[in-house]
Amino acid sequence: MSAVKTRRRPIVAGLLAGVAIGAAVGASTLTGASSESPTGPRPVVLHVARVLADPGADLTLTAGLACPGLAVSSTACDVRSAVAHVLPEEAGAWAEIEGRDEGGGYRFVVSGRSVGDEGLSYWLEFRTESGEVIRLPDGGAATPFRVVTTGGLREVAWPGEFDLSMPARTADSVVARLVYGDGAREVGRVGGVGDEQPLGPSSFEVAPDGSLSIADWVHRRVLVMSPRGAPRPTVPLPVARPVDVAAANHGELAVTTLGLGATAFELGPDGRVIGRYRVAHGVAERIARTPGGPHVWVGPAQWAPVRSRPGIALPAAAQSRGLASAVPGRDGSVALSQDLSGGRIAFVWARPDGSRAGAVLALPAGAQPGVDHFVQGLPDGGAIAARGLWSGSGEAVALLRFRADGSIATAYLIAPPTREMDAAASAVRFRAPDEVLVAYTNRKAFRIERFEVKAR
Amino acid sequence: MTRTIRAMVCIGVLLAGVLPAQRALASWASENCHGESWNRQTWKRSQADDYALRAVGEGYEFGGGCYKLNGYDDTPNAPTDGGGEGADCSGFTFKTWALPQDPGSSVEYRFWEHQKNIHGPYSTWAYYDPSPGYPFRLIQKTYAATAFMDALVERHSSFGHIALIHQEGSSGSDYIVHARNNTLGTELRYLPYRSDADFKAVSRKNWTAECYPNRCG
Repeated sequence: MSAVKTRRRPIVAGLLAGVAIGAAVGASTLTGASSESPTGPRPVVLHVARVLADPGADLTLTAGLACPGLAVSSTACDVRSAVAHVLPEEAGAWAEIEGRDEGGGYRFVVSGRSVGDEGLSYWLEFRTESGEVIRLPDGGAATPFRVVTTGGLREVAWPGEFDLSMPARTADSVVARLVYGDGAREVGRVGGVGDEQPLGPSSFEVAPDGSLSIADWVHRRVLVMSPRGAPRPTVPLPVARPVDVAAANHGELAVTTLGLGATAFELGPDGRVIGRYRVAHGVAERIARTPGGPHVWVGPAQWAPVRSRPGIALPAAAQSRGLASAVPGRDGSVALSQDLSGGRIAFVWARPDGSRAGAVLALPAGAQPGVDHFVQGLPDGGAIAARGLWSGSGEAVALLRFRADGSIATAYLIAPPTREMDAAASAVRFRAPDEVLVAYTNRKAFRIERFEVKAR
Repeated sequence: MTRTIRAMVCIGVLLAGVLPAQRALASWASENCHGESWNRQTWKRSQADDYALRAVGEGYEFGGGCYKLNGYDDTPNAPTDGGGEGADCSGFTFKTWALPQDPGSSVEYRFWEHQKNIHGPYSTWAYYDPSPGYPFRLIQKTYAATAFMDALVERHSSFGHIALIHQEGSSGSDYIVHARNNTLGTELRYLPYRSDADFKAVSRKNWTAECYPNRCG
């Protein structure tokens, strides 16, 4: 009898220990987007970075501190001063510009006199009532944001017809169509009531070899397809939340959860976690693979590196100091775009010889720049760009092919992509040599359509 | 013996993932939602913003309205109307805007503690197409016309969504705070709702001026 009791005791103790561990793990892994740090919640700088400006024109910067989860009585997010430190390239000293409190953030107006032909550098500094000093980037004057100007870029207008309510261009083909469901070649599921649940995949990506990776977060896997849509082995996801996905050749993936307090992962072709990295800044919306490792988009024109070597996370300060306005493509080249005043958009890219090319597109009256679906430089020195546009009458995505001299070779309007993908900025992807892949959904299925953007 | 203990630990871990959730579904709201509410003389956009951000990281519940404010979703897998943690998008807007329960009430502002389990009378239909007597109205969707704590709302035949502007962005996107869905809970994101043709802008009527009680210069 006593022997039975003796045997039962460790069993009961084991069960209790297991329940305790399980409860603790559950509490920590099922949490939402907390900005908790080891020393408690910390302010997050929400910034809309600028990378291009018109020379001689005023430049407006906006940024604010957010303290999600903090009690109202806390002073951690009460801003005592907000200053933008600005260094015109032609000047030798930093100037301070005090931010104007606009309630939902601060506005810093850089006088056009400080925006010379060579551009400027800036960094932001917030001082709080609790005594904390928060800089973005963390390195301050040593690692500022860099703004280049539109000087020398070709000015172009939209060629041909323009009607945002009736995008004329239809796809050249459907690359993939996946019905919602739990089957091996199905994705996601039909959502719940009202706004209760999203549908389908959260993101998709094109690998350098043209294959597709579709983040089916509902089933914790990435579906992989050949360039023509034939199934390949799936890759398990390490998280049960919507993610953005970035793919490389040989099946390696990088994924990031979305929003505040995100976590990025590097995965082997079999789903093995190679590295797990806390994203220390901003609001994660997209991840990209670069020659220097994965970078996470944490705000407009802000890409943060998250690791030094595979498996070795970068500390928060190093992530902030490494913020880049654009990530290099797989060939190392950089391309970007920026909305400008007056309904214009600037596109800039590097030609294969390293020289700068670009254009400033003046939109037809009433149209405004929308989501930046990014720019891709081409071997011929030109570029392909995809940019959301909107007005009071509708919305569309502009597909543009630029020549090396910045002139427009072709321009189309297509229907806007799905808004059911949680990684909204990833609904449009480029595929070499001159294809744009766009995600669409209906209530039953997810599909990826292919648009060729060839020079005429 | 060691193997037995290990096995039991594993079983316990598995049980912990299931048992508390099952028990919580029936009773979480009734056990945790004892918040109060009271009429107020003032309610500023900045106060609404603070109120909204406190709920970031917490849960989402369709038809719900109660937050525990412990930094995570207490009922991540609660079914629809299961009494779980969080508001839905329209309930979150109702509480953040400190709206009175009765649309015809003379009460201007009513503060609802986060722990008060109330959704309010307004669905996304109401925000999308407000009656003149409602305490909110449609406004232009341009950056010049909106301010922080205004909302962006869409309504379709089978679903709708409303989200609050925390900080204005650019290119038709904004830093948004909203009760998103069961998976993501209540969150802060940078989203292109403004540039989405389906969304309209809606503003609470009669915000208290930020300078109050000082003279506005």
